[in-house]
Amino acid sequence: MRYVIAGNSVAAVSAIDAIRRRDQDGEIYVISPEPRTAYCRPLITYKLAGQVPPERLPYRQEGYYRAKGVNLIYGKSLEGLEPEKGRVALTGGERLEYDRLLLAMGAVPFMPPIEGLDGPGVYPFTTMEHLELVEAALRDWREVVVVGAGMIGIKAAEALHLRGLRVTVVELLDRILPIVLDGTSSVWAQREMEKHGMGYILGDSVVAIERDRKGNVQGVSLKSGTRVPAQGVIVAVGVRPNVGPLSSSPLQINKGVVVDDCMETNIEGVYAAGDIVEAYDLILGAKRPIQVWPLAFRQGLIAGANMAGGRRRYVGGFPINAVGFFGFKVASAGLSTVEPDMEESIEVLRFVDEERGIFRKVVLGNNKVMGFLILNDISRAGIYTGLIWSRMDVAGFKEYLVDEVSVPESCRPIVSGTEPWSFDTMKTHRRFGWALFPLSYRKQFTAMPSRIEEICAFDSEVYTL
Amino acid sequence: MVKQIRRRVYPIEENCMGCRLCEVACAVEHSKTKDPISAFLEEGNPFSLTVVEMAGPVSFSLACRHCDEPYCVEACISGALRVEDDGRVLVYEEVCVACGMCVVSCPWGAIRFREVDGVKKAAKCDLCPGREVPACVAACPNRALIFDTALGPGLELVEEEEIIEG
Repeated sequence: MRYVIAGNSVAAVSAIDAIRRRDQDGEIYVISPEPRTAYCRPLITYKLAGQVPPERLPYRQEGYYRAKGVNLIYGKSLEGLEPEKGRVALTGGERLEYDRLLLAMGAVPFMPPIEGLDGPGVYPFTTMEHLELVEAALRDWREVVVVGAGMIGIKAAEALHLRGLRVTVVELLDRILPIVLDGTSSVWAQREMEKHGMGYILGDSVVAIERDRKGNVQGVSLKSGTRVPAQGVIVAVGVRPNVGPLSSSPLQINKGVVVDDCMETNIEGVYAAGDIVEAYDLILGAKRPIQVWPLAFRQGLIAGANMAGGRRRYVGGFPINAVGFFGFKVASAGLSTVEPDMEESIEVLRFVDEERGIFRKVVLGNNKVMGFLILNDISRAGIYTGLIWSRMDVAGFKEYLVDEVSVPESCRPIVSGTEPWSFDTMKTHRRFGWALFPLSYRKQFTAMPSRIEEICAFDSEVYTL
Repeated sequence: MVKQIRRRVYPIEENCMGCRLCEVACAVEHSKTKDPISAFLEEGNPFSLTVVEMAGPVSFSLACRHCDEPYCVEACISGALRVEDDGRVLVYEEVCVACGMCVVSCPWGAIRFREVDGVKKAAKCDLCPGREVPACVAACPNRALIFDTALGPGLELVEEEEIIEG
């Protein structure tokens, strides 16, 4: 059996793991467009800020590929798919035959139609190559414009700010982190940015990048007519599934490569995983691309297991995000931008205490958790994520979900710097947890530490109060 | 199929009285001196990796479940969380960048941030390396915690799952 994996990031690595768990002998070929082993893509902003040394970037320890018996093909990418002959075309016209193929080519940054975009000084920021380009250019930069205030944009802006540059973030929508934050919380985030002297312009877009005669960036002009001086521009307005090389193949492609429950595409033996796919969204109940790290890992695992003859089902996914800048933490999953009076069928529970910096929001639909948004103190946020996975009916303990619950002295957890005879209070910590859940649930999970979404899938009747 | 050794601490909530000795034992075991007095008085940073959950009459000690296919390992963007060969799920603090993805992913709420020398890092149950039985289990006065080291079916469990047709 010959497995060919196109792409070399988290989905590919988890697929290798899953294949090797079931098939020790099959050949594995990994087509790696970048001339390096898999690395932690999100860490490139940390590397730019100088928070992570370069040797920490590889995702797996040295010798991982050798230990797994993987043949790496560096510097080539998949250029075409010939399913009737069971082979793929690589850069340079080379052909590679496969028995099982995994498409894990990820996503490519979207470049908006801006005048003067092509040329030096304007970079997206998703790969190591971009990082190297930006680091090389950093010497000549004093002012930078970051286009887009999403995850990548904000983290890149923070990193550049920490490197001592004047950063201005330009966002088309009316708030920063528009896919995660709602109105109130984005005001908090903006205040945090102001506090650290990071500039931002909301509700405006870049129409042109001004260059001098040599082609060097001099600044950007915005739709409103404002001109922002800059020597460099980072474009971070989102990514699109990298389906370009597959467009002439009989693959079913919508926004991304459409896959079924087993992560298999409409062509037998061809699987897809990661940012490239359009897989089931557990909350919206429809297929759409969700480009987050954990889902790529999960999809790679399922695809790898099925490629090696296993039978695993992907129950679906939803976006999970945790992002922090200057110590300001944002945790969210699922539907997090919903405002309280936006939709009738959706209930929004909120607890906001500006003085103590507490912001918790849980979005309920039909008494099931559909999303949450937490700022600053994100501890135990995962329990909400677990509630989304399990699709548990939370009607029985709804009032505890976000509110502060005062607990007796004896229940307060141990925190640092206190005398042993009076454990300090940290009320928020124990406000909500597994003890509030119905007994049938607790039993199930303490007895069988498997995946929550797989235990609970589709039979919520059994586990009601 | 590869057999996996399972090493897990299970709470038995019927036996738990909520005395929280496990928290104290854990904090002491993971302190520098491993001495209760100096851990609490001198080091000033007792940090328990297990948490006794309480709600009314219900209480149990909840630490990392060391899942077969952990959510936290999936979510870790830096590769700091790994599944060891013996089934333990460990966080390598020197690799952790404190992004918070594991905290947001763990459905048990078992991963927390611990401040080590002014830097926040993810911290979770490590099943007490160097001890035969984890400190919380040894400290429990009412056998509300049991340590399971059976050679479990591991991944076979999930493997049997059938695809629902239609």
